[in-house]
Amino acid sequence: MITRRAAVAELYATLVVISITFSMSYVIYSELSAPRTGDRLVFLNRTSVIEGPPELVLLQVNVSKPTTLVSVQIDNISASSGILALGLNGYANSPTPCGSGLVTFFSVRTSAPAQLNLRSNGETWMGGYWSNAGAVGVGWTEVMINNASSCSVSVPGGTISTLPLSGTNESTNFRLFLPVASGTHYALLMFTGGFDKVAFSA
Amino acid sequence: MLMVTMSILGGLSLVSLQSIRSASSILTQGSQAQAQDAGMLFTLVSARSNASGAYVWLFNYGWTTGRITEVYLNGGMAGDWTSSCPIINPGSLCVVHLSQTTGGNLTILFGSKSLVVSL
Repeated sequence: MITRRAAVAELYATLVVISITFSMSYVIYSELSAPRTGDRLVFLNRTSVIEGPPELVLLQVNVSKPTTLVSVQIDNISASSGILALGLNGYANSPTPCGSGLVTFFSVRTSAPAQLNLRSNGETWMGGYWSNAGAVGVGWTEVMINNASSCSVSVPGGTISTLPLSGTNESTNFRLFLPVASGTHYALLMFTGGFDKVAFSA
Repeated sequence: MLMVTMSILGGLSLVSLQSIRSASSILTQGSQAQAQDAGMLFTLVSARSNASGAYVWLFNYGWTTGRITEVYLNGGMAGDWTSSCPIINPGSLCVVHLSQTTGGNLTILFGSKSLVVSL
């Protein structure tokens, strides 16, 4: 009889210990569970100012998952409405790839290595270099044309995109060179699956 | 029963510890990146130009090592630059040489940090 009472007491004690263990473990685990981002994109932005003229900002965006840049908007001026340009009155859309008193910035997109030729009566910048001609690889190559009233862009087999992008457009790393004027500006980058807002200044 | 209880306790402890490790890893990565950026402090010692090109002396007075990632001259990449040190250690000098001697604004990037020199 004494042995049975002891066994029942041990069973109850064990059940109590197990329930306390479960309760405490639940509390600890729920507080310390690893942060999870789920399907949301997380952006890490780095901006670097590059002295010109024109003064540039190199915007580097790291994304938590591979995604595609869909649209760029700077100070409420969208690349979806035309080629982005920086003039005396700030950012604007340009109907042509160049303009007097403007720094236009866009990109050319190629599916095979090609020769890019830029002809203008201003300064031309392509893929990071001040140059008017050169070989470009597969993907996106950013182009800037500074203060040109007439210009032509030739890239056999390629197309002009209003997105000022370098590299590939399905990636976790994006590089954009943006001409910048004094003051603080905001870039809104729309990706498939999320958006990123970046403040930058000269 | 004691063995069962100890097994459950041990299992739950492992899960909790793994969770702590994951959270700690994320926090460590974030703080290390911040510290790395904060510890990269470069100053211009001197800049000279002569017939053989332009020379820029830099000093790392921070507490982390740095590396020159890109060099721009007047907004365009300078393709012909060389550096005396692939990695700039704290408390050490580094010389950047460009074959171009023309004047302009030189921007030296160290990851997210930059230094501007007027030549």
